[in-house]
Amino acid sequence: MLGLLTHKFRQLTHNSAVLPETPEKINAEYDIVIIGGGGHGLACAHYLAKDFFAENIAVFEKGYLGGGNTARNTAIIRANYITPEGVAFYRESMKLWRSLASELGINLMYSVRGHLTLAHSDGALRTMRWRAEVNKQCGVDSEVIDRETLADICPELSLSSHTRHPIHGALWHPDGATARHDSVAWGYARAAAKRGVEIHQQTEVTSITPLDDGRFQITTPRGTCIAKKVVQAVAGYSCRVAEMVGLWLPLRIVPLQALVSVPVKPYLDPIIVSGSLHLYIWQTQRGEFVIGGATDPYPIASTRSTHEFKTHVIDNILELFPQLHTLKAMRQWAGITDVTPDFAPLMGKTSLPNYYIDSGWGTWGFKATPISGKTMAETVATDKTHPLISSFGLDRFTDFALLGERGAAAVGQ
Amino acid sequence: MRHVNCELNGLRDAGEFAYRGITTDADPTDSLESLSPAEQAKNIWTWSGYDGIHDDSCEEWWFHNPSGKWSKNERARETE
Ligand SMILES: Cc1cc2nc3c(=O)[nH]c(=O)nc-3n(C[C@H](O)[C@H](O)[C@H](O)COP(=O)(O)OP(=O)(O)OC[C@H]3O[C@@H](n4cnc5c(N)ncnc54)[C@H](O)[C@@H]3O)c2cc1C
Repeated sequence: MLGLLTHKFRQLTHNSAVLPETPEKINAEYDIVIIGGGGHGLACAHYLAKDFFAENIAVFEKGYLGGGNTARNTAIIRANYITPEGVAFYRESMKLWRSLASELGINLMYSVRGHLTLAHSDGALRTMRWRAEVNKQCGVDSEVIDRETLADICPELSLSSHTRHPIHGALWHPDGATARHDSVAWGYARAAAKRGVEIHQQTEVTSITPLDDGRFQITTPRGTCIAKKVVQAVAGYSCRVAEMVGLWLPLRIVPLQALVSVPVKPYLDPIIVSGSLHLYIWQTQRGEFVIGGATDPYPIASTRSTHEFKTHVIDNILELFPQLHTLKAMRQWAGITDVTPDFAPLMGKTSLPNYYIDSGWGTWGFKATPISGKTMAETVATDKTHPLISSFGLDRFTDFALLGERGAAAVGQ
Repeated sequence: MRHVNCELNGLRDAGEFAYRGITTDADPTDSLESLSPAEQAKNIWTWSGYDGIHDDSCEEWWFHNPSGKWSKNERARETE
């Protein structure tokens, strides 16, 4: 009897590790269809169901959950951007991250490490002072530190002045963190499914036809349906999907590569970024060094890895950490990113009523997953742009209102 | 090593070039003075990424930094 009760209790409290199954068929009609089962699409589905009690929602994912950039990213979370709009947005995301594991009932391995952006010139230090001031004004912990303080925070870093790019100081963001990326997709998927959201994997949207009555006809190889509202959250495929409804997005679709080393003993605590050297590095709880850099300079429809990328980042990493010269690279990969000209996101309503976009996430969108889900959910549910994303609309490119986030987003992720 | 064709210097290392969108986007060789402010903005900022492999052949703008020369090139976008 006691055994049976314990079993029942476990069933009620245990969060199953099993992911939601794809329903057998696609319904004829949905209130909301979300295209893209990455972190952003799934978070939007979750908050629509949780915060707005929206029903009859389907997520269509052409591959598997998180198989796009969500599970390819290097998992850096921070809020020390340079524009007040960007800082306020990512600050709210950091607040959500802190309680996300308990909200979703999944271990996200959220780990606060501190984030250091190195300055290799006086010009870079000036930009960092500007960034630190904007950050403080917006309530984000961020300050410029000198070489002595840097040596205290990261004694492993080479501060030699006999290198090609000696370090002058750094921007220190103590709240900088990392999290396990695929758990984020899984956590949102399970939480959304518990609230009735249908999640269809292996379901590529191949065409979207706007109908005269304001609804949309959506075609997939598994069937066709009608949707009252559509959200596209497809990152590197944004231009292609937007083209289906005649929307043109000013995005550059370029690969971003990263690599990971074999695991070694815990050695490096903070996340280290150098914009001038085009690289960043941090060590996972498993001991692997995660290493990344800037995007490839031109579009290519492939997630291939290149030798050039590897040699470039490794050369520069060894300038910062010469003692890592015997470390072996284990794996290298790439994702296809959607970069805006001003390195700020592209989200919200569009010129097409009931069609919403969540894109322009380039190399920096993982950290935005919770807040983008929340703000997009409100925008979709109420058809009113959430104030936190009002500057991120498509109209900024025709109204000369670009945001200028490049200085804080180009490499630091 | 990848090579890109420069109309002046022939095949050169891809690292010497800047990519600037497809040729059906705004023409970067247009003189900005002759354009309206909206056209100028489109020319500078809003050229598209045009992702993936498309059936139609597609030429791209490439700027050769050392010689300052614009070239139009076709590329196998699936591989290089
Ligand atoms: C190597 C790398 C490192 C990065 N590092 C960081 C970092 O450290 N910090 C950070 O904040 N960000 C980082 N990013 C960026 C971040 O990964 C992305 O911005 C973020 O994951 C975008 O999430 P998403 O849900 O919008 O897109 P995705 O996770 O790409 O999801 C989009 C989904 O849409 C699906 N899809 C596409 N077309 C269709 C269709 N027609 N029908 C149905 N489904 C479709 C895709 O299969 C995909 O699963 C990095 C990116 C890369 C590639």
